[in-house]
Amino acid sequence: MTALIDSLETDHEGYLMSRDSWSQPLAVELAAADGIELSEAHWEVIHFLQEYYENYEIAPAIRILTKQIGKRFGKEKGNSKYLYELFPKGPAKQACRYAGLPKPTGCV
Amino acid sequence: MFDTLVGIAFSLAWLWLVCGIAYRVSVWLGARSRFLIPLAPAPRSRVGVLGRLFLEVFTFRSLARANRTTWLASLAFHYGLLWTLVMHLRFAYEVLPIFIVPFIRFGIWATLALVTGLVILLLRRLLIDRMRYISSPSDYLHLVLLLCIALSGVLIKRVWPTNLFEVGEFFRGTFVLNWMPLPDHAGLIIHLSLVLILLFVFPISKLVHGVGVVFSPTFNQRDRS
Amino acid sequence: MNADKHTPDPVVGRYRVIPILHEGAMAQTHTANATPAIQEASGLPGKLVADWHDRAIARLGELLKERRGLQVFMDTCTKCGACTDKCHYFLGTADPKNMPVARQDLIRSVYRRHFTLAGKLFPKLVGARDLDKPMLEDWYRYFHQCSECRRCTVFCPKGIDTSEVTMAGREILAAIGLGQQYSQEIIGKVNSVGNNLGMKKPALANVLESLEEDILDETGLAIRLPLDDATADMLVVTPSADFFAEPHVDGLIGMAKVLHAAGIHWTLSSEASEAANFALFTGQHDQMQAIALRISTAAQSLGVSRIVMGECGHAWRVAYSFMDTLVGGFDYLDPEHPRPEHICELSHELLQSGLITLDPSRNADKVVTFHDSCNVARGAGMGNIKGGQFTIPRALLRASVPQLVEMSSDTTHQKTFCCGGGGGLLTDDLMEVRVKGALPRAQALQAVVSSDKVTHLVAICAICKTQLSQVLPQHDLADVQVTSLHHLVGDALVL
Repeated sequence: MTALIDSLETDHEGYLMSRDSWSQPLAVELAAADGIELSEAHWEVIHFLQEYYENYEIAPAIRILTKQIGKRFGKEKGNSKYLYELFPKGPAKQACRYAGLPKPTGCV
Repeated sequence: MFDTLVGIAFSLAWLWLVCGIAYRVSVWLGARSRFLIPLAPAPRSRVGVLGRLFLEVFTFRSLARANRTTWLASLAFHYGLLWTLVMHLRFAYEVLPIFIVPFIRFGIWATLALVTGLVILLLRRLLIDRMRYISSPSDYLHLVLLLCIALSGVLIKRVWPTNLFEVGEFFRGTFVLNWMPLPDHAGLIIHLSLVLILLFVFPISKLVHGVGVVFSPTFNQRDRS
Repeated sequence: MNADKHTPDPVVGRYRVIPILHEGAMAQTHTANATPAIQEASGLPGKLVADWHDRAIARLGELLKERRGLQVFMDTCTKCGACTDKCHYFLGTADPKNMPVARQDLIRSVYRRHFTLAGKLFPKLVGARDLDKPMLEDWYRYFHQCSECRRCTVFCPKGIDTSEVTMAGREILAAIGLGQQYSQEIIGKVNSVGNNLGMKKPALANVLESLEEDILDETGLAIRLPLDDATADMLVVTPSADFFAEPHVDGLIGMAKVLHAAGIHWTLSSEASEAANFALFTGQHDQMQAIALRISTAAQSLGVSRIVMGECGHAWRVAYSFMDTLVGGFDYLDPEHPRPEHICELSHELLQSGLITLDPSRNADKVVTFHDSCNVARGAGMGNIKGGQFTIPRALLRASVPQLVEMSSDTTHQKTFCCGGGGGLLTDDLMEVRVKGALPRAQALQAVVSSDKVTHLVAICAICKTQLSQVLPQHDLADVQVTSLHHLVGDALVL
């Protein structure tokens, strides 16, 4: 692990306790720990998630995410296959973790 | 003197049995029953609930779903026991009533069912790893106790007879606190001592399930939507 | 750090074989304790209290007086063993403490020690035990490996309901400072925001608007998903997963289509934007009441005359069996519909009265099987006929798809197996329990996939849908689509 990750306060599943502790280098390191190198395409998703969270205080539903990514960045990106290629563990969970968003709770 | 002590013990045992069960029932009824938790699909009418309880109490319906061997062994044991208890009602009468005669006539089959059932239940508990895991010493001892009572009963009935009329006098006496002598018979004393233990254990052990099953909310509540 | 560290290896079990006991097989399992902040928000101690032993025993004594079932179940078990091979968690894990009777005995042995004559005098003889630290740890561990699905009750000749014991165990644990993070956090969010997700009204409105757009694109019709519409006649309360997760969202869309086609003036509520009631799982009756109250309060403030519950298993149990007790009568409802209804009940009624038309040929590419959700199957009824919870969803399905295949009858209807994620276990830190617990369901499904080429598994519970879509791939069943019943109804609907 890295210095940034080691000093983090996370919940029991690795989600940040506070969004204030998020930074771009941290996201890079979190992804690297999973063997992912963040590309421009990843950042598009991460930034959208953060923007949505700013507005609605919750991560977007996967359907909203795909639709909005498609609208903003091109139709070919507006599907869950594309998002799963970027975030193999699932965009909802993995991308939210890199973006420093809390995990949605409930029957999801 | 000894006979009188045994007589007093039985008088106390009857009292203990009745009060013990009454106390247990009062504990159950005293607990609050706030929510409807019948096991669905549940009967919608009171008659339907009686039907459900009847099937559970007299046919062990849920057990039949679960495990055929246990079900058959339990049926054999419980009905064998019921039959035997009816036989023992002879001791309540000075003159043998006619309705008990067929029970006595075929009593050997009931005893056989009772003993076979108990042996299967005991073997099951001893041989299956899941059963061993969930069993406490008392779970085995209940079965062993019942088995010993049955076998000692067979002994005094078939092999080493005793004076049944005197036994009847003795028992009728225990209900009216008129303690009579017992026949001088070691086998009988063993049988009766074991029965005393059973009567003592019944209301304070899992044996009380026979009464408790009708108080189970999953069975006795109806679908009141 | 790695979020998927809990993902176990794929499970391949032999079909319907009772496992040999493997003691301690799941002893390493741990679901996170609720944080002090979460506990305290519900008025519970933040961490394990110093006098936990005495408080736990005292609370057990209170619960025995408050819950007749618990008291009777403590006394009547004969250890007959009928339940020992009936629990999906036992079948999947082989851990003996996942046998229902062994799970009950975690409390029963303590009950005997403290509340029975025999247990006070001869503890060893009757299996009475002290509540020591290892026992407390077992309580926490194994009461969180029970989904409270009540399958064992079906086979119990005494009618013992293990879920009542599990609920009591969890209630005591939370009361001494050991709540479960997953369930307690959710209960907190319902109380503070209105739903399990913590989705506030603007987000909810945004989702519904987006879905309306999607429906318009798909059908060309302006089908609405109204929120807080005070002119509506019907309040629909659905699990918040329907606003967020796949495949749940398609079920919500299907419901909207049905209600639109029938011309019903309905609404969702932002105050009662959650059907689920996790306080049932944790055995906390006061919380269960507070959550149920949100629904009746919303219904009354919106002035609706009907309440309809969406596809959620335990919500339906609460609505059908407990609502009346929890929040008092429904005199504000239409006398024709005097209690909360299930969406399946409603759709079925619309179908029968000809208000909607379903064309199964629109689902011609699908071979479907139905997974009875435990809380619906064994916790509630449906319609006004005994067994309606089995017949009504199936009648709807038969009208919506050309081919409905039944799984083995010892895994459906009253004997249905839990999906493995119910009762507050649908959390990543219990993934191993969830995958293994899904084994019996997966095996039954595998059989119909092989024999009848089943393509879709239909459920009417948000937990079942999430759980099965996550764990079926672990059982080599990634090709089976998990679907909402109302997704298929919506697709078959002639608009």
